[in-house]
Amino acid sequence: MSAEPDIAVSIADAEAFARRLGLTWASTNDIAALREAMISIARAGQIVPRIASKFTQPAFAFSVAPRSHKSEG
Amino acid sequence: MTSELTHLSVTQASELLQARKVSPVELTDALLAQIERVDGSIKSYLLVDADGARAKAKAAEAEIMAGRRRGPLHGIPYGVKDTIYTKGLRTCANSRVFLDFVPDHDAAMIEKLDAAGAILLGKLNTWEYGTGIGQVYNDAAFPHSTNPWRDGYFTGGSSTGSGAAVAAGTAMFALGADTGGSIRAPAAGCGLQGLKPTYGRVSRHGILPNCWSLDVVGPMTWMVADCAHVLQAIAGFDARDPGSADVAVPNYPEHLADGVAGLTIGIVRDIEHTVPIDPANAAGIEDVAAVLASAGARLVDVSLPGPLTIYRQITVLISGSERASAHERDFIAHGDKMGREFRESMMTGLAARAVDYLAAQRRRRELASAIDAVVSGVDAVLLPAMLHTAPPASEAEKVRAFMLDAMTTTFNISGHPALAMRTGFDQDGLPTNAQIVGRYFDEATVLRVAYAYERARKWHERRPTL
Repeated sequence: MSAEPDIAVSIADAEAFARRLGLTWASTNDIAALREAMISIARAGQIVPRIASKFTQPAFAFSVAPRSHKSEG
Repeated sequence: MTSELTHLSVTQASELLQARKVSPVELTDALLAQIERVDGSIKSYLLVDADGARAKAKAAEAEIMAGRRRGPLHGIPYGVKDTIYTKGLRTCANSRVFLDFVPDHDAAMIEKLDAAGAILLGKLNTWEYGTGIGQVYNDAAFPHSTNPWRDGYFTGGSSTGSGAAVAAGTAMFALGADTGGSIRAPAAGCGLQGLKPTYGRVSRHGILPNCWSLDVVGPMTWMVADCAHVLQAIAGFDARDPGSADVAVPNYPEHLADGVAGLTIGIVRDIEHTVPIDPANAAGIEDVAAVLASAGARLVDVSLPGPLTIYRQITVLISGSERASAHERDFIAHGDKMGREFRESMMTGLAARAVDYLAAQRRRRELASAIDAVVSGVDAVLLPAMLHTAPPASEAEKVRAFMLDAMTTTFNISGHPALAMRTGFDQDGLPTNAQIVGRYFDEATVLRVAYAYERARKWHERRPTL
């Protein structure tokens, strides 16, 4: 997947991130893949709309069970 | 006799076992012989436990002969995706990281199937760690399964071996796990019935985690009634799984044949896609609609909230983040042992921002409510699972299109029960598919609708030539 102009991630950025994670095994190809991953997930984050209401809770332990049941998350 | 036995449905085999016309030992030996005969090319198994299966078959035979038959799965041989823990039996998830991992306990589903008297044949092939979208690099610990309907064709995944095994007759039923379509994609690709139950309906205790807020486990079978029997055995609340739902489990087989007269079925026709739906798949959807209408159902057009891309992006963020959270230590220590697709998936998850993950989970809440408003307005919804039939495994773009041009992640996002079922075959003899979606915890209606179509069309009588 190619980078879009609005998301700039360099190989140096990816190398720095790999060091921060502790990926001592990462090869040149892995760094290139990490850069692509950083771009693609940033793009996904841009697409997801923000919700202003503080009452729309994130689904940490997603549940569709009725509220009367103890498994409600 | 062997091929006759391997091509029995669970229901047929169960009737023969009950009547003592076939023994569990004969059945198990027939399945093991089929594995020996075809699995060198199909590659549905990563590990076969022939000795363990024969021992369980002898025990089942003794119990049945003594008049202590436990139920419809007693003496039925099956396989499980190799992300599902089996006590004393290697569970490697097709990863070099786990080649020496032997669980000290069974998954909840295995406990339940053991109690039902089913006979575990072995561990079924999967994409590494039970995830992926089919970017087939062929660099995991073991080679991928191939589609029994056509050599060299893609099975769909990630429960690849489960799909291939049931189609090839190397397992009478299989268990899979579904985060974005991993039961329904191989069911569609291999011409099975594959049910993703409601989120929380089946315990995930003892399963290698992928994404805790999306993962669902369920049955993959040849016939709809088989699906009902297996679901009956594995459904139910389990306090060991934080997502498990304490909701009553109905008798699934009991109402299968009640018919669809009077039901309202919503049909989704406005689907986005990067390439058009295959004509044979579109014809299959219309055939299901016609059969249900002729049986007395009322068909109404419905639309799902969109666009389709938002489901993909939300799934990428949620699954990537949760997967990275679950497997971060493995990745940092052993990432060089992992295959390229899983390694890249972990990188994606680790690069996700917390605020983006939370935004995805909040948007998901809204989408789930909007989808539920559509589904709860009818008795069931009819739409494709996969828009295409299985492509050649060597054609990466078609493989990618098969997995991404799908209406499966929508119902992982919402948590509704969804079943992929066969609707016939295209001009190349590859299975076509439809998807039936039901209200929360109403798998019974999903199965009832699928059963009505299956009984009308008899596509199940055609088997792969191996």
